[in-house]
Amino acid sequence: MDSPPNDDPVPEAPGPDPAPRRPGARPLRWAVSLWLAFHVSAIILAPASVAPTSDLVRSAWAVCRPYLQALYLNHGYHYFAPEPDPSTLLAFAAERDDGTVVRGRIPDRATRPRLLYHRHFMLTEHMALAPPGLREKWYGSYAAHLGHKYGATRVSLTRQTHLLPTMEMVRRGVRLDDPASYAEQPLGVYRCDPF
Amino acid sequence: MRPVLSPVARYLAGLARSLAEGWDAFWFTPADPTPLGLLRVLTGAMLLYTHAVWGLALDDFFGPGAWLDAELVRALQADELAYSFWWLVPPGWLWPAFAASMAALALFTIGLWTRATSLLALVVAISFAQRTPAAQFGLDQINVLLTLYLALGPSGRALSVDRWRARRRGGPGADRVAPSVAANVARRLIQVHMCVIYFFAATSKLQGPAWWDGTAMWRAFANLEYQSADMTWLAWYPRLLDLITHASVLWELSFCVLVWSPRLRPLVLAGAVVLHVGIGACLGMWTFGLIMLVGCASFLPAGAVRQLVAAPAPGRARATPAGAASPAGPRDAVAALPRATVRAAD
Repeated sequence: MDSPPNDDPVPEAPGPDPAPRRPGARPLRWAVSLWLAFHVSAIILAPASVAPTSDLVRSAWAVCRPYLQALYLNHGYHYFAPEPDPSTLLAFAAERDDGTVVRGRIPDRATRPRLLYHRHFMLTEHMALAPPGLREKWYGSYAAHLGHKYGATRVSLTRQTHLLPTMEMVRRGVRLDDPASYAEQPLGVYRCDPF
Repeated sequence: MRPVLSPVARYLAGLARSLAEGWDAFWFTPADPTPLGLLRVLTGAMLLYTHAVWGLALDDFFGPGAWLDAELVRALQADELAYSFWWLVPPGWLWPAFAASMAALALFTIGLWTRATSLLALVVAISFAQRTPAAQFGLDQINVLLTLYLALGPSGRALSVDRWRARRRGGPGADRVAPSVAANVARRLIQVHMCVIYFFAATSKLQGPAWWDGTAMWRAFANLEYQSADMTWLAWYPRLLDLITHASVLWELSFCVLVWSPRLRPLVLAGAVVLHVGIGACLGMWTFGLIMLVGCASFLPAGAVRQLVAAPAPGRARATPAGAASPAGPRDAVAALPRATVRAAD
């Protein structure tokens, strides 16, 4: 195997008395090599195990899984894949006991800095991918947060899917924020306990 | 039978020997820690910014009424080996815990007590990520993997307060930084991980029709929630969109092969700059784009990094290795490396 060139330091010319190899250096190198082989296999198996995948890959990944999770390396790296999808947003109405209502939508494009906006955007994007068994827990958690934040006792949630216009639609003058591009799905009304 | 088997056996033995030598040269050639020092400064700066932004909404994400309550997060991580110190922090200690985290990240960035603070930085980065799993994206993944490898390697040996203190203390060789195997292993791990990321980013795209029919980039640009620059004018130039779409996938797919070629590496890295600056400018993900570029910076030649970091300090140590270039071949050079030192550029 040809090693890719290492552009690292040009060494000094070797002297007449090469430093003796430290005792235990070879076993250490073997141990490090074994760990490197395992580690590199693990970081390949993590994205390779994302469906569609084979039973063989999933079985191998299962061996590495605790290691990957402990180091927060268990990721698929499927950025904008398999293809860029419509966004998911969360509209809410938080009702206080005095009858006032706070309405809003997550993410809010006015949120600054952009990274904080993106954190909120990820909250709704991940919500859209929630497994069926966790959806109610998920909505309940978001509703409880909104109730806590706005001092509300009732929070209604609506999922909005922001559909993507085609090039043809934009050429015809359709705007990206066209009201018709938002598909709504009521998620429910949640009673919030005061904190 | 023997005349047939003998060449096969010789071939396999030669192959095994060649693989072993290649493996050793790839991972165990001592390397200058200066590139690792630069990556530590850049990663630390991104960690500081990333976590400072959490501070703007600390209650919303880490407080008792957080977006993701404990029950939901535990259900999400039910069968995972996930940990976070945030589960141990009482509500009244939210801000002190945050301040201590920021302090650890700041010390890691400047390279003070780097051995300890790099591990602390890793714990901080993982703990924040695991407490808020549904608010994470690629930025956090790259933040953590870079911090992990910088904690494994001697990232505080160059461009650091630790280095400055060592120089002040003086002693033999105090103005020189010895090449180290650990520095090479850490940098190689970053390089290999970046190759894995780009390879799977590309192959996962190949499962989507939009990356084949050329409309994927339109779908990204037409997404108002991502948009930070209005690129809808591209609707009148569908062939240009086709080109951007195909070029993005091809670049990602070929990265893990072409980046190892010294001749092609500048072009591949220039492609990374175009791609990630484009993501930052058009899709509003500057932090993600920049941290990917930090990962790509692991491919910069050590000599270029030394020149880069020496440039602001004329009159200081030259950004070149201390010793004369070895006239020996690569294998002799490897044998000589444990004795070699390079002048620190910090």
